[in-house]
Amino acid sequence: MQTHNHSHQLLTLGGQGRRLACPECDVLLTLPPLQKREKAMCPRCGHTLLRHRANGLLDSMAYSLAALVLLSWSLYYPFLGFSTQGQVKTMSLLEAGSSLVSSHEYILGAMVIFFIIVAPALLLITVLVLGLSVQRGRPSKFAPVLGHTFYEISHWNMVEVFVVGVLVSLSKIATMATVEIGTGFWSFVGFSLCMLLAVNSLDRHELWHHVRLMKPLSPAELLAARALSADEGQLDIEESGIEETDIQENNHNKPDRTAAETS
Amino acid sequence: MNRAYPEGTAASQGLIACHVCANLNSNGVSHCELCGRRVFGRKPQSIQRTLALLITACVLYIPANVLPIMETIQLGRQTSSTIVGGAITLWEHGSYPIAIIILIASVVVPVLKISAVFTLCWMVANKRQYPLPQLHKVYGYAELIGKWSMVDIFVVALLVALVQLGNLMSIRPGPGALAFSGVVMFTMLAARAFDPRLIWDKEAFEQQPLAVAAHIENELEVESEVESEVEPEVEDKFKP
Repeated sequence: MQTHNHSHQLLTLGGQGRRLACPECDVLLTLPPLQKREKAMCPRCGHTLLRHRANGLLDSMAYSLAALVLLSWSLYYPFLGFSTQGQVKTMSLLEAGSSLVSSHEYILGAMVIFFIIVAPALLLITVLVLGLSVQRGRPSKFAPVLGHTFYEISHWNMVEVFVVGVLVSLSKIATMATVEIGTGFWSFVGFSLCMLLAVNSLDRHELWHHVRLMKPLSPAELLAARALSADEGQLDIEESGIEETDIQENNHNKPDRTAAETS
Repeated sequence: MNRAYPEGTAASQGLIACHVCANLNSNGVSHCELCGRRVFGRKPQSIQRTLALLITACVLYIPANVLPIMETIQLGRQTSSTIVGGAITLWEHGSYPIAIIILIASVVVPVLKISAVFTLCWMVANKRQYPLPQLHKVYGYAELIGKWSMVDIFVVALLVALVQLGNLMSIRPGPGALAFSGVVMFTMLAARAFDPRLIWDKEAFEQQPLAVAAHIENELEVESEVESEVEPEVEDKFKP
């Protein structure tokens, strides 16, 4: 059982194939590495299992950062303006929820703010924090918690629905009054696009694969890693995990690093 | 109907896939070995929970349609409109595309979704023969369209925020809005509580012996490779 587990892990880590169960019909599959523009679909139920992504996590982090900036813009700048018979009213994005609260619809207001601001922002922050800890190669205690948060919240992100809602309400009141579209609205459109790209370029399996690498070591593994690092004079292994690939990478990196230090 | 899947299903191989991180756990663990999440072969009491949430949504669907979703005050006169009423008004004013969007998002989608998930539960609970791929497609669509019903709620939220000119013209949310958002939330929760793998569990599983044999051979090869490459190193590590 042990050796079988081991070989299975090496298989998934080496990129030779990923063994997984289709989340929608439970069939076991071993996926070959995907080429550009390929996607893996379940032969049984047609569920899309995996898409090819060259730099899934990095892309997703970049889009997330852009989306967060655009979201803060759309919160800051006026969203929509409305004027009729000399009276003018502008609204911010936050007012879409807060004016419901001030009309004593507390639950509804909280729901709207959660669906269009809190849930997407949390989603993006999760991607960034997880991505950063992966980039630094540091194990994060919170990685599983963040991963779970991402999974739970991703269903409640309704940014694109809200964009359609804005378009519908615009045409609804365009007949009654003059409507001005503010900078906040355009930022929000950009935000929803970046949000879509950030979520789509993220590969759940890739993310968890990194989390697996960053998992804190069991005492036996730690002992083995210590012995190995004592052999080769490496002290940073304890932190980066003892997967074979990691150690090899460290070996490759080592000469470069010493060269950089001496120069 | 039976196609060959050489590796079988996770359940048939005694494995449990974590629904969050997709890690394959051996049978008998209660929490995922990778992410620590509770794992289960199939979602526990999936059908009961789905039905409970669906019935809640159905109950809420009545006030959602009877009570006004928003109240308009124009020059001191107050008019309230329900979801369907609002769509009809839009139609009469000649904005057909908007009326159609509202009708589809607020009437067609929830009704379709509720009946689709009911059908799924009924089909899975009653041991019947049914075309599996089609039924799975029904599930896929039900998951996909769920959140688009929120369009109407967002329209109300935006109009309430934007049209605030006192007695001249202002819009207030009606009690129907909360009920309708409840319908949307509970149908989404119901679709998530349903386990699509239950659909496929009915399929009798016939493995092709040849394919399986080839697969095992393959695995053995890989394993022997791994052993020859890795085992010595591991032994070294433990030597003092």
